Amino acid sequence: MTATETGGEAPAPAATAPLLEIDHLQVLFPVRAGMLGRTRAHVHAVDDVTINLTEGETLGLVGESGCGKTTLARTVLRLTKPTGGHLRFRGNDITALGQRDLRPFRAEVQMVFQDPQASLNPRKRVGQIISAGLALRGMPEKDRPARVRELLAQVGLSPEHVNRFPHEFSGGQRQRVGVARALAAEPRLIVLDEPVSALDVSIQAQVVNLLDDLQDRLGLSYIFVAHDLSVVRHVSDRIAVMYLGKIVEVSPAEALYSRPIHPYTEALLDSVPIPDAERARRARKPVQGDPPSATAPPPGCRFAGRCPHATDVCRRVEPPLVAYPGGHLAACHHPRNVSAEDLAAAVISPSSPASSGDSLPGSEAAL
Amino acid sequence: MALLDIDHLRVSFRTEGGTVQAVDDVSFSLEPGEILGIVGESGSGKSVTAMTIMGLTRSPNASFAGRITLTGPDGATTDLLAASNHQLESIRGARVAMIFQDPMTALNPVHRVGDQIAEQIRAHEPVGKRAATARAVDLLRRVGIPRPDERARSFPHEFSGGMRQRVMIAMTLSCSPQVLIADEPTTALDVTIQAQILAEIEDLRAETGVGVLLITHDLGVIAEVADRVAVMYAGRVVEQGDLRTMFTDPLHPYTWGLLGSVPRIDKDRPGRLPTIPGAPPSLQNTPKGCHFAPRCPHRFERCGEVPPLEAADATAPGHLDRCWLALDTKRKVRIVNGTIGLPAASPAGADTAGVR
Amino acid sequence: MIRFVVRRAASALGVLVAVSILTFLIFAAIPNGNPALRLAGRTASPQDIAAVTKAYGFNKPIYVQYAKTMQQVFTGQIQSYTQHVTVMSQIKRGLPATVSLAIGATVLWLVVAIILGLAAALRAGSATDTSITVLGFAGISAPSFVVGAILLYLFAFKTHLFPNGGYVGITSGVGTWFHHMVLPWISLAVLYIGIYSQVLRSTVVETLSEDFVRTARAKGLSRRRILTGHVLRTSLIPLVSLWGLDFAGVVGGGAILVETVFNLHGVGQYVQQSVSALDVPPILVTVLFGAIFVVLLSALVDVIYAALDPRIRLAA
Ligand SMILES: Nc1ncnc2c1ncn2[C@@H]1O[C@H](COP(=O)(O)OP(=O)(O)OP(=O)(O)O)[C@@H](O)[C@H]1O
Ligand SMILES: Nc1ncnc2c1ncn2[C@@H]1O[C@H](COP(=O)(O)OP(=O)(O)O)[C@@H](O)[C@H]1O
Ligand code: SF4
Ligand code: SF4
Ligand SMILES: [Mg+2]
Ligand SMILES: [Mg+2]
Repeated sequence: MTATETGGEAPAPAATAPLLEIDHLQVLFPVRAGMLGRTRAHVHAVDDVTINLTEGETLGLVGESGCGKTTLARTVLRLTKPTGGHLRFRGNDITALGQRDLRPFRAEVQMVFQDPQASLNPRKRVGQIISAGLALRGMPEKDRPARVRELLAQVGLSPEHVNRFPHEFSGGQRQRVGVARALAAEPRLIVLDEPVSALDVSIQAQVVNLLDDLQDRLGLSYIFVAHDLSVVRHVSDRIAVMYLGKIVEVSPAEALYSRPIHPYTEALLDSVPIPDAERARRARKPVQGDPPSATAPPPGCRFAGRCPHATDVCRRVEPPLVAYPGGHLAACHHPRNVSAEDLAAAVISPSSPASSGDSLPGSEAAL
Repeated sequence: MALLDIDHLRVSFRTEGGTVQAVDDVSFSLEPGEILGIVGESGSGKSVTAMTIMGLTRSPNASFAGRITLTGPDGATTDLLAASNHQLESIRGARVAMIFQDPMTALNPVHRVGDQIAEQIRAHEPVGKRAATARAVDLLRRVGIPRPDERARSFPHEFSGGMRQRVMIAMTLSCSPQVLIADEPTTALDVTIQAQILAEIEDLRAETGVGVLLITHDLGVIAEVADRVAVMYAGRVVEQGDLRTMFTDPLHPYTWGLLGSVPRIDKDRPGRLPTIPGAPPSLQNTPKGCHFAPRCPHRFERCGEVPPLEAADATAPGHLDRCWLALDTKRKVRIVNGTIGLPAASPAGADTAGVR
Repeated sequence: MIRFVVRRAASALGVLVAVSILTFLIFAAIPNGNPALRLAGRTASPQDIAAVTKAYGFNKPIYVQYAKTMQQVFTGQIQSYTQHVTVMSQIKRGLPATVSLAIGATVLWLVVAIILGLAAALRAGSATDTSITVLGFAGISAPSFVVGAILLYLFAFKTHLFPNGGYVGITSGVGTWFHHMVLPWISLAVLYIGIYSQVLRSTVVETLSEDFVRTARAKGLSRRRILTGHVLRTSLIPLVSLWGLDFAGVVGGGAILVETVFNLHGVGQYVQQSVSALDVPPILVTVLFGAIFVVLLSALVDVIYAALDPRIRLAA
């Protein structure tokens, strides 16, 4: 089964082979308890997630705190070991590779973290921090200083800054250092975990623009994790919405905002405050409650406890990820904003979790 | 007289690296039943202003100037800056209450949440432990905590972030305060939970007529709930006015930059986000004159002097700003690609344009 | 909570078994002639020696020796090489003095350290803080036997305000008992006052900057209420675990020097005498005995800890 069978999950030309394939990936963390530290339960941090990334694409990843965004990001980098499923990079299975065999992959995939303060070694000078990435590429020592200066210039810092320590920079500048460090390895894919969340709006815009420019210039692919839906919309080609370890909706960026199919996406979008006083203030009816525990996720649809459209079937049967026309996927028994034609054209996506039901929305079984 | 009146407040801290002028001549007032939004980037002095109202910044290293006047229901006024520590203790929590940014750390981890609420009630009213706890349970119910009698016996770590913030709100409500200060109450929360908490604060205001000082760095939050807005930059209020004017007729270049640089889900995506160049100044070493000058594309000679916070348009006396540019110039230059933003370069006419 | 207590008790038991094996190995390894000969005494007949050899399993593999020796230890029959009385009877004799010393000193060091630590923290950076810190470090670096000797010299030899050492049981009158114990208490407490006041100072300073203390102030609580209900309550938690070990150490015979300087005839002094005579059985027993106290108290401390800090219970 390939993505193309489903009517094109990725908007990119079908000829392009995916750069990264995340295939039914699962990450369970054991919860230990009892006298012998026996595993009592598991945190379902990432639970059967399938999605592909094409070269040059930016995939946004959004969802509430604790829904598994960071875990998915770290697993893609093989910083966390998956408990199930497969990861393929350029078609090579990297799921089970050892540290040594991972080395070429490590150079091609880099990460930028949320907290620029905590993710840079405070005792290393900026020059040393960036050089580490060059070493990973195997660049001879004598060529490194020149390249470090180039990289600093590339992220909009002054080359004179090489000898500074991270704490001598502002938050926005530190995040630029983080980006320069990632670029040093000449990666094809950068996983950005909340790269601008800790920054002020005016600085955030500077970093977002920098990332945009670098992508244009270097043809990078990004996985952009964020909880700010406005920032994600601005940077992404495609967006995946996660809820409690599952992908509930995947869509080309614009369509997600204009035509959200999953009620959770709708609720998320409804909650985003809009900086516009002209708009009549909407009668706010925020989605109630908190997400349930990831240790004992409810059967059926994980959003059912908070969903205003939940029915009996939602609580019994896990909705499959359904592919609608236009590369729009959603896992809901009662999809929003879909026309009769959309429903007629809908098919169950092969990305659908193994545990999900097999009836399409609108069919007899789903009612 | 306003409920709370801040008059030329200045707060500075002596530190090893020199004196930090955290709040530099801030004035605003708050009416009963009003939500005044204070917006600004981190380090602009929002929290110091709020904590100074509560007397929480008092320390041997801090020095203060100005007046903070709280008017009681009987019309009696108290200057919170001059009040004794003892006087302040009786006002804090009872007449002025505060919610903080991080609900994860704001509650004491070793006490039950019900007890933490009851403790505040008993600090201000002569009620027994039993009665205070019963009231705590009622308050928890009121802020939407399910099974409040059971949950009152839980410890903070047994709650989610949003629930903890509800507990904080319940706590601040306990003595029916006149003023509620909420310092970034939703910054640490998810958008869905943020919407719940903002709705809670609005309900409260409607029910009790409490005056709310809502501090945030999110213009969206301001637009959703505030009645009036003050924009702070590097220790100063640079613009102040009612909500609608601030978004439709902003007069300070920093406000333009702020409005322009937020990506929005309700508008078309711009190719690049407009930005404000540079970064805010260090408060140990602020520029002379207008604090925004190093980042402002419109600066001219006059900007070396401190601009006053005053109404630029005589027809809108409630709309104040701190910028030397003439009103017409401002209205002309602030439009970038059809929307309000900070133009990238200084327009040719900036220095020839009239100043006020 | 109950599950937590059970788990903690089980792990304490495990530690004890490990300690007993270790001390037994030391016992078996100390080359001090044939242990059977030494145990049986100088005037022993071959039958006596055979009996001892059988009782301790000296002719059996080492694990049998271990089991048999432990049996001797725990039935209280193991004898000293030099005195030929059971070790237990000696320890029982020394225990009242040692427990008196431990309890009195611990009350003294806790009260004084909390007052000093709190005073220093609340005036952090001031002259008070600096002088308390200097005093604290002086206390930590002054060996307790030196402090004891100085105190004896000043208050017993020179001024006769206090008796010149020795222990008088509490049954002979609380007044005389107290009079005899004051100097040992002070000598022992000085070190711990130094340590505890410094630890408390730093935890209080840290706690004072916690967000929840700011919340407590914002609630309008009085200064006293904030200090007792919020600051001290959380700052004392790390002291509890320190205290468990130190107190158990003293009861288990750890105050060797102070007991010896003041001639208290406590467990510590017994240890000192046995060590200088290379009398192995008392050393074996007192080490085990000390370990039991340390392990029991640290288990108790963990339970207290969990009661004080609800987050621990959850994590457990
Ligand atoms: N090492 C770990 N051991 C146990 N559980 C873990 C571990 N790492 C993460 N989790 C749990 O897995 C779930 C997903 O965590 P993750 O950090 O991926 O969330 P997230 O979506 O990145 O959240 P945020 O927006 O807060 O960063 C959470 O329930 C979290 O508590
Ligand atoms: N106790 C203090 N001592 C020294 N500087 C302080 C102190 N409290 C705050 N500041 C400084 O005052 C400035 C304003 O801080 P704050 O009001 O917290 O900003 P924000 O607008 O983000 O709430 C910052 O530069 C901060 O570092
Ligand atoms: S499947 Fe049911 S409960 Fe889940 S989101 Fe759709 S309507 Fe709501
Ligand atoms: S024009 Fe001058 S006064 Fe106005 S914001 Fe710019 S620098 Fe400040
Ligand atoms: Mg995360
Ligand atoms: Mg703040």
